Amino acid sequence: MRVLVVEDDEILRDGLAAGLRLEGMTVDTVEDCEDARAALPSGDYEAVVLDIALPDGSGLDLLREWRRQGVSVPILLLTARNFVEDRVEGLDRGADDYLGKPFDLIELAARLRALQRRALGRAVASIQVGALEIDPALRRVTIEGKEIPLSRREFAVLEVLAEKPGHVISRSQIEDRIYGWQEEVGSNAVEVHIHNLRTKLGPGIVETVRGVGYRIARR
Amino acid sequence: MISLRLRLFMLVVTATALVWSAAATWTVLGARSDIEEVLDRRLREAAHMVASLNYSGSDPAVPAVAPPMVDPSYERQLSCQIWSLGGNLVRRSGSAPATPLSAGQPGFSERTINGVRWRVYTYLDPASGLQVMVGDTLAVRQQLVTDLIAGLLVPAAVGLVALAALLWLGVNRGLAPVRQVAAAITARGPSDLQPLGETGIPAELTPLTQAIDGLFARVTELRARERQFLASAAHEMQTPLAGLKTHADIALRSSDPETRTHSLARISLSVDRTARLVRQLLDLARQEGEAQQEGRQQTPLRTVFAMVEHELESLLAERNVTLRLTPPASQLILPISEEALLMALRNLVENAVIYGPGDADVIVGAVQSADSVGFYVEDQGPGLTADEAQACTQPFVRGQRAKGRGSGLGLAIAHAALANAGMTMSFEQLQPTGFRITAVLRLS
Repeated sequence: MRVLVVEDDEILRDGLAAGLRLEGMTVDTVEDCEDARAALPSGDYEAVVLDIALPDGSGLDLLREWRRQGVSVPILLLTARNFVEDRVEGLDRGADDYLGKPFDLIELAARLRALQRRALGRAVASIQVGALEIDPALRRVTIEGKEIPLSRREFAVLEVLAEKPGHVISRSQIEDRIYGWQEEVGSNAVEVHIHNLRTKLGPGIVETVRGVGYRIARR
Repeated sequence: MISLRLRLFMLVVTATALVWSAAATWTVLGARSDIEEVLDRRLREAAHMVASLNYSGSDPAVPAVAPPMVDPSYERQLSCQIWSLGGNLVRRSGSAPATPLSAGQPGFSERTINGVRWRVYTYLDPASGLQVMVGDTLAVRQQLVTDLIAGLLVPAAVGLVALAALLWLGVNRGLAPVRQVAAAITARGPSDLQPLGETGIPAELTPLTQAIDGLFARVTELRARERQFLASAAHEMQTPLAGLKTHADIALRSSDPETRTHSLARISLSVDRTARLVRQLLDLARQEGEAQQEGRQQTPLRTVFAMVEHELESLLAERNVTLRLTPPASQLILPISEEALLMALRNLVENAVIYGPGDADVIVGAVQSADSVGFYVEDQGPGLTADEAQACTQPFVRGQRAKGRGSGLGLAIAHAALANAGMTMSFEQLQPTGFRITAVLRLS
C-alpha cells in the first residue's frame, strides 16, 4: 500500500514515514501544500495522510481543492485533538477519516488499511483468492491454513495483484505501488519478486501475461 | 444617578409650572386693576344717575336709587347718600351709614367709617345744590378679586395635575425604545455578540447602540483571536507530541538497532524543541500579561547581551555564527527591565542565528539620537518583507520561507516585551543582503 504523507514538522514526518514502513507500507513524504500538489498526481497513492496546519496554507483548503478537481484518493486528516470543528469541517470538505495528535502508529496504519479496503469495496480485512488468504494487517499469507513467509516487497507485490484477482497489472503499475520516490528500483526487481512469489506459493497462483503484466488467477 | 425618566419629567413639569404661574400672575394683576376700574366707573355712573333724577327735597315717595348690580352681595354693599349743601342728609340707601361717606370734596376718596373702609364717589350738582355720594366697601372689592383668582387658580391646579399625569405617561412612552434596547441586551446569552443593528432604533439612540455594537465587534474579534491562539497553540504542542509518540512506537517495535537509535535521537531532539516551545509559550503569556512600565528601569545592554550569548552558546556553535556587540552598544543603557530586554534580545538574536546564514556574524548595535534610543539586531540573511515582519509580531505567524524548527513565537514575544517598555520595532532589508530589526523608544 502506497501512502503520501503531508506534514510540515520534520520529526513527525520522519516518524510517520519510518513507522508506516514498519507496517509494510510504501511512504512518500512532503512538507507543504505546494509539494503535495506536485506529488499527488505523480504516484499511484492509495491514501494520503494530511496535516491541517501547513506553512503555505491550510490542509483543509488543499483537501477541498483536490476534491473539486475530482481527486478520489482516500484522505486521512491529522488534527489537533480537542478541536471538534476541524474534524467536522474536514469531513464536510471530503476527508474520509481523521486522527487527533498525538496518535498511535498502529491505529493510524489500521485506519489507512480500512480506507484502502473501503475504496476497493471490500468488507472484510483479509483478501481471499481461492485457497490463498492474505491478511494485510498482520502481513500474513496462508495457503489452506499454512503460513507462507514472505519478504516486505514480496508481500506488497502479492497484495497489489490480489486486490483485483483476474486483472492484469503491468510491471510499472506494480513498481509505482511498491516503491517510493527516493527508492532505487532495479530494472528487473519486479521480475525477481514475482519469481520468488512463485517459488514460495507454488505454481499456478501468479500468472504472467506475456507483454502485458501479471495477474492472480481467480478461482 | 437620577433616572432619565424622572429627570425629563421634572424638567418638563417645572418648566410648565413656571410658565403657567407667570401667566396666572399677569392675569391676576391685570384683572385686579380692571375690576377696580370697572367698579370705580360704576360708582361714578351711579352718582351721576342719582343726580340726574333731579331730586329736590325729601319726597318719601321716591325710593332710594341704587345702580342695577348682578351680584346681590355687591348690590347690598353699594350705598348712596344725598346731602344738601347745608350739610343735611336728604336721603340715603338702606345699606348706607348715617355719617357722610366722604369729606365732601368731589371725585373719588376713601374713608373708614365704623371700622369699614369705603371707596366713595362724590358728585356735586350745582343746579340742584345737592351732593350725591355713592360708595362700596373695599371688602367687597377684595372678595371679587379673591373669587377671580380662585376661579383662575383652581382649574389651573387641576389642569397641572392632569398635565403631569399625561406628561408622565408620555415620557414613559417616549422612553420605550431605551427599555427595548436594554431588554434586548439583557435577554442575550453571554456568547451572543451579534450587532444590535439600526432598524427600529430612534436616531437619538443610534450613537449609543453604535457604540455598543462597536464594543461587541471588538470583543468578537478578541475572542476570535484567543480562539485562533488556542488552536495554534494546540497544534504547536500536539505536533511535537505526535512526533515523540511516533518515534517512541518505532523504537519499541523495531528490531533493527539502527532504526531504534535513529528514533531515540529524534525523540531527544523533539524533547528539546518541545521544551523550547513551552518556554516560549510561557514567555509570551508572561509578557502579554505584564503591565506597561515605560522608562522606569535602566538596563545596560552589555549585561543582557552576555546572558543571551551564554544561553545560545550551543546554537551559535552549531550554526558557526559569531555574535558581536558594537562599541557604542556596549556603553548603552536602555530604559527597559532586564527581563523584558532579555526576552526581546534572546528571541531576536535566536531568529537571526536560525534564519540568517551559517558561518556569519550577527551584530547587535546601538541607536542613539536626539529623540530616540534603542538597539538593533542585524544578520546577513534574506530577512522578511516589512509586511511579513509586521504579521509575524502576532503569535504563531511565520515567514513564507520559514521551514523546519520554530513555531512563530519569537517575534511575538519580542514585540510584547518591547511594547511593555514603550519601545517599537521596525524592519529593514539591507543591501545587498541582510536584515535589521530596530527597537527604539521615542523620547518626548
